[in-house]
Amino acid sequence: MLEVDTRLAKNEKIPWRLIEEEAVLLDLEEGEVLRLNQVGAEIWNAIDGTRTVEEIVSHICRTFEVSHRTASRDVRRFLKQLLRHELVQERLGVSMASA
Amino acid sequence: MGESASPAVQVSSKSRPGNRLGREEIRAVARGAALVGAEPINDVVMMEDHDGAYYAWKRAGVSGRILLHIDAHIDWNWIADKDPRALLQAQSLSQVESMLEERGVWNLTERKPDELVHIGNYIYPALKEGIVREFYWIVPDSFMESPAARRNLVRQFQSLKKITPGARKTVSVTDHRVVAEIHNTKVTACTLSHLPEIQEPILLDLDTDFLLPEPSESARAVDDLWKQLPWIWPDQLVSRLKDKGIRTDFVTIAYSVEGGYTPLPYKYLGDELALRLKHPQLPERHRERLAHKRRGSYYRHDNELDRAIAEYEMAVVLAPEDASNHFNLAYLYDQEGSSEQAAARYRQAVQLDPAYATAYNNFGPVYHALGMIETAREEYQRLLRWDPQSADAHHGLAEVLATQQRWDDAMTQYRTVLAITPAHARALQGLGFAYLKRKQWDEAITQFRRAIALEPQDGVGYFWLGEAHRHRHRWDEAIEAYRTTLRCGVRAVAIHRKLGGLYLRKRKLYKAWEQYRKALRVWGWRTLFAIRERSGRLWEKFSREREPCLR
Repeated sequence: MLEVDTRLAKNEKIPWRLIEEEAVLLDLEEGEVLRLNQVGAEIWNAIDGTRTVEEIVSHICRTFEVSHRTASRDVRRFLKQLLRHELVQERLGVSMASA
Repeated sequence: MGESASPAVQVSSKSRPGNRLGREEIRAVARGAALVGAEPINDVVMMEDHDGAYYAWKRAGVSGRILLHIDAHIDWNWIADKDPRALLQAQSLSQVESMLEERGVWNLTERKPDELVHIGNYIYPALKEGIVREFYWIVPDSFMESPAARRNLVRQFQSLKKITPGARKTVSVTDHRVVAEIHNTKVTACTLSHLPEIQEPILLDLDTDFLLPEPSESARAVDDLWKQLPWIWPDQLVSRLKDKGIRTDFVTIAYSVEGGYTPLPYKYLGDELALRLKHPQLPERHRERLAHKRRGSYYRHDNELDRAIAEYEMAVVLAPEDASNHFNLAYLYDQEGSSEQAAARYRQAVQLDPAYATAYNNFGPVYHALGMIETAREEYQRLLRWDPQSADAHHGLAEVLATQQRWDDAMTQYRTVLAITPAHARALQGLGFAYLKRKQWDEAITQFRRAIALEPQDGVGYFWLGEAHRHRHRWDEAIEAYRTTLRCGVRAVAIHRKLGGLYLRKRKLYKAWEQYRKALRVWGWRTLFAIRERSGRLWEKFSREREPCLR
């Protein structure tokens, strides 16, 4: 369950790079090359281990001028996908309260 | 036939890998080179597995040479050795896409490139590292005898193209040669008769299996594979090389017995080749010994057992230390019904050369692969008459019984193998499989785990472990075992399909969907490492322009 104050960090084993505003990721564990589109890349870039889910949602709202509701729904959905693929992980021990 | 310590060609400080040899370098090489079949060649390196040739060239500092590869197999496949991090250096997404068009070259497993070299691909690193700059594959004459055989040869080149579509620039097929240019390397496949004139000294790389017909062809030609004959003998091959004016300073010869390529009764032909290359003027005693062996083969082929025995016994008198004579006699005595004599000869052969105790010292594996189950069983039983403690023969027999679904008998044989060799991973796996078939899941799991402990990189073992867990309804363990199978590099539709089913059971719908998609891709409609759509309908509702998605 993703809470608003959940902080996510990129899986450090995943080499990646932004190319033409998209992100190319190498998932060597699964033997796959993944490509994130511009919005996906923006979210990926925003995942730095310190930003909360809510902060990422706000960032997407500002950058792409979409409503908070739409951004919140889709960012969460996307983050869950990243979690399922183990491309990101929840940063344990760091919450809004302790930050 | 010992390995040579002296290098064939020392690379000068000016020479770079892959460069054509300069005039001075050619002269230097030529000084150390000999006309095959006329002058003695000093550097002849023998090996069992043919990829040893690559390591021998490396040790000798060989560079920029023409390779004459005389073999029934091309031994050139691509190695997925490209570091995928290079994809991240691309300047554009279209460049990433074009880089990914080369399938099967990206090492997405994190295994080191040198761990990926084997007998089927060692020529690839030799070309890549500049050891070899031009490659001639001399094929057995039968490979060019008919249009169907030539088509088969062309298919081998086409399979190289499938992996790297841009690699092959040209290909021409005539009645005599298939010529291609792959990654700027000229590759010519032809018979020895149609080899063009080569001016400079070449690297001569031979496989003993070149001398024998393919096992399936032999099985059609003779009622017993022990009676097969080479299509060309070593002296004839050397003579044809001499007629072509081939000069060389460095020879590599593989026996290739393991895997069933060269029949063990003819392993000695590799030694004979080496002998004839090193000593073109063969001493009389060697000539006489080899003549006895050859006559013995012909008599065996004609079922004249007494005369064959007499010839091999003469060869033993001339060279009692030659294991092959004893080994060939073991079969002949066995055919005559003298089991004790046969066993004694077999023991002597193994004592002289322990390599004769290989699992390929009989035609059981070949017959089994050809579906001749009863003949395979007879072969294993023959070997057990010679050596009742042969774990490999018991294992072969167990495999035959498993094929016949005689699980109780198979299990008895597997247990016998394990009593002789407790750490026999394949027997443990076979026993586990038999338990699996008898629906004794826990016993199967125990055996598979023991097998995996011995061979932790064997993905197939994990697959069967996954099967046992799945039947036991231990979904998480089954998922983990199947995932490990994939991590070990085993790719099969069944694995993804089963993983998909398990994720469905656990209501992990997205993961299930992912696995079914992978199954479809492995099935062949999608390229293995292509960038692909990953989110599909889930994201359709989101702004088409701004959707965050995994593609």
